[in-house]
Amino acid sequence: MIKMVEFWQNKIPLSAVIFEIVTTLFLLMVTIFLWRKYVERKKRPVFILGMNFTFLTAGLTVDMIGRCIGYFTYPNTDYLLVSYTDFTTLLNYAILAIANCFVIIFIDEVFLHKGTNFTLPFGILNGLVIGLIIPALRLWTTDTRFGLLRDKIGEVVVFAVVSLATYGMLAFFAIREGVLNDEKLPKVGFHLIGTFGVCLVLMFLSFAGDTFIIQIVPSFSQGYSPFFYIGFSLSMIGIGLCYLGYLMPTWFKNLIT
Amino acid sequence: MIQSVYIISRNGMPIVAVGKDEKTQEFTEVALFSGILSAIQTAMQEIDVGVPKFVDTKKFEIFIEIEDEFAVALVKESKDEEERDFMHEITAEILNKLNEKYDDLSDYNMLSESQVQDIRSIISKLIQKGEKELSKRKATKIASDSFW
Repeated sequence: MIKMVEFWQNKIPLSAVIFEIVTTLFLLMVTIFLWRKYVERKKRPVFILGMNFTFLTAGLTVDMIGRCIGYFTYPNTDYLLVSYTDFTTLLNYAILAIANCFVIIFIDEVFLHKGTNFTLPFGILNGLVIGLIIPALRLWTTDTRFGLLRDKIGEVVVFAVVSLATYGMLAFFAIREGVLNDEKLPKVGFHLIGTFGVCLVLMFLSFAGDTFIIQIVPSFSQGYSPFFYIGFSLSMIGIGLCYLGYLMPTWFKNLIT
Repeated sequence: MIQSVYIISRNGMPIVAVGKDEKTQEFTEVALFSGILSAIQTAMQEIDVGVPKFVDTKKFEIFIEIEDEFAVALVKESKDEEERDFMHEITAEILNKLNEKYDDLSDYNMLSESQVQDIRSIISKLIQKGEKELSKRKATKIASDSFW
């Protein structure tokens, strides 16, 4: 018998689990393709992007594992009493902060060429995000009930702002490069990379919207508002654009040219 | 990265200098640069090896375009052989633009303050255009080599 509790409650819907598993698999596929490209070409930008995607995949996998454990551990109860997702989501954010560093290095390597003057401040900001999240993760080990993620909204906001700035810059520089270009292939490629950045910006906004709306709208108080699904849908579109923009398969190249 | 552009009269006197930092535009700096460049040109003409259009130092590359009355010298920081043709194009474009607009650019004293400002603005715009094009070419090349 589950006792109704005063603290935050949550129940993971199957749809959320499916969305996250599918996104993780897509991301894993693109990551593998990227590393294959690195083996073929041995180029530094591909290595940096490979590292970025490896950390993105690692973060999302951690988040997915938490959601799966949450879903499969308590399939027959109304509410979860242990917030696996609170822990794994925060851990995911810490891993994504590392991924952000590689995006910044990638922007510098391809577009800006300013070196540590540009990359170091962003590295420090992402280090700050990780530094803020680690105490929250330690807190979870002493109290595993739901509510940690909602209590740590400040840390989540800092992470979201840094990530928005990171992918916003990728979008800006890539789209600007696409606009400046006259050749078809780079024009399309840069626009796709830029749109991938836009998708990730919108994804972070959607997840921020989800975190916000579940606190103010009673019908979503158990979590998983439409913003959650919009966020994952955007990330899936982004991964598709990323596959076409970065990896550009032969059939797509033929289509453009 | 384009460091500076110098407009120099044929006898080696500086006319206008547009640069990234204040130091580049200081009179002594400009006069020294113009003098050295003019001396190199004269010396090379004297020994009959022709007028240099490109000078390579340890830190910079200098692209030179010469007209009857004046010369344009563009100083660029980084060294990328593939960018050299484009830098020659930009230097020539500066020369042509100024040549089209001004009948006589042989002496700084013959220019009014507004004309000097106009020349500076023409050069600055072309430097910006060059920088944008350089960045575009570099990013496109990196992305093409790495991914496409």
